[in-house]
Amino acid sequence: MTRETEMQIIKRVLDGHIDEFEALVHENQKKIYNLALKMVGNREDAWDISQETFIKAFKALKSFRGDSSFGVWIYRLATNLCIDFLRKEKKRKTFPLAYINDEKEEKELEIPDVSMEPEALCEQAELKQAISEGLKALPEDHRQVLVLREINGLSYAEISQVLNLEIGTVKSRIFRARSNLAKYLNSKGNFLNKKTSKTTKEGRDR
Amino acid sequence: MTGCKKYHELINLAVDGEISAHDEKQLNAHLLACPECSSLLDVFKRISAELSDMQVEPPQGLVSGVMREIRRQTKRKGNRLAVFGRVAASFAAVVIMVIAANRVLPIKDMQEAAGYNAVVVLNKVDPHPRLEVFNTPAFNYAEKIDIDVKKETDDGALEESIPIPEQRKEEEEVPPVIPEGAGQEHDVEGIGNMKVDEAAVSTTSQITEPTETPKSSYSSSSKFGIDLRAKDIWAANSFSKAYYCVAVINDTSAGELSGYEQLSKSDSEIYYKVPVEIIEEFQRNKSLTEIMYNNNKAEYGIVIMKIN
Repeated sequence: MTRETEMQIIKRVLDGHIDEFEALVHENQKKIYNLALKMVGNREDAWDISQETFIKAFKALKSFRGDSSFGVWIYRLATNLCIDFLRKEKKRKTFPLAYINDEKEEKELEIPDVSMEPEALCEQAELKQAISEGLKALPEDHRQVLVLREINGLSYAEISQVLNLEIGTVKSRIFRARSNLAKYLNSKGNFLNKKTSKTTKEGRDR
Repeated sequence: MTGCKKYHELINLAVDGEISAHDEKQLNAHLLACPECSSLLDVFKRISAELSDMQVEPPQGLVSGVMREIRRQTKRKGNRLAVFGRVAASFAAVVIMVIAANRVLPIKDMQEAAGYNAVVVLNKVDPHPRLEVFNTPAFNYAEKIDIDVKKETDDGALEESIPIPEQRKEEEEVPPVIPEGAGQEHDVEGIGNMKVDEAAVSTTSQITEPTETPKSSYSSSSKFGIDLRAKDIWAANSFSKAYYCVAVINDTSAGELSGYEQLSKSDSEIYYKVPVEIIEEFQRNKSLTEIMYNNNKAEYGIVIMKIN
């Protein structure tokens, strides 16, 4: 969908042709759902958040100015809703795994209590499971950038637009997110078949 | 190995396909000599591959669920003004009639008006005649008014009145108000309800969140140069003219009056309906100001108590 098409649809919706909003939902549903799913970790909540994102977008449509694309705008709505949702979630168990945050302080990785899905226990599935869990263990602002980059395929520039961050911050957060995720995977077993204990130690010293 | 730090950044860029050709050469050279960085790059690539592979199709019904909810919410907010009454066959005739009569329609009794969502009064204001719509207590002020009025057809049949908003469930009797026939002067009594030409009013249905404090006026303009303005009924001249007087008690320490019907209450004032004899008493022992005498024959007056 081109920007022109987007703007045309939006104008018609604002003129009262409500049904035309459906085209925008259709166009963006996959990426919003995947974003929500990887941020909150389960399908039910991802569904709720996705719906809420679109409904909120509809209500706020008159304030959409068109200086960013509708996609970026709606990503922003979605990430905010995800973050709000996660803040309200209280049920977490913590295991002492350390990570380095933006301020170069050592913090503990919080690992949520997740139930294993009844999938075939092959290495591939285990790896995917471990990655999902590792994602959830990341602090939200790191998880956010990694999901937008890897799941949604946004460029650094787009991510900085959605989250209102400097590109440098985006890059360093992605790096840290990946490092911490790698650390997590190592702690769970030799998933990646690499001996990276040395890297882990050095990561902490930096 | 702090020297590796700069290469970590490059590794990140390489995974994301954002590395320049120049930097890539540098990185590759380094990787040949550094097993840690080499391993890091592999790990990152693996993670990236797994994550990008994890996109799923959204569940069925997401889109339809969203649209259903949006439609539901839109319908609820599109409140409409119920305007009743039987009028002359044409809008123009009504205007003429009011001009000729040169009166604003008085409202005899607030109780009667309260049963309706609103009262519509035609006010001739040169050069633009004005339809004034007054909310009654039965109406929720914070809702945006969606005005849709109907015309009486030429054979005298009355068109259906507009859908009743949520507050009122029972069907209302439609009282004939202005007798048919143009150009006659009438001292019209009863509630000034009338139906007007549908084309004269533009309808809007917007979603508004009633988050603001109740407004006392809305406006919406029509295609025929008629201004529509909705106000609270307490602000209506025509309304107050049905009462003996309108007076203000300016003494905030007086406290609320008890025993009299409250017509309206806001943060700053309360309107009471008070029998004329009592108002005359008030004149003797309270500080009544801004008295406006309207209708000598009325049994009640309005007393406005300022609080704050």
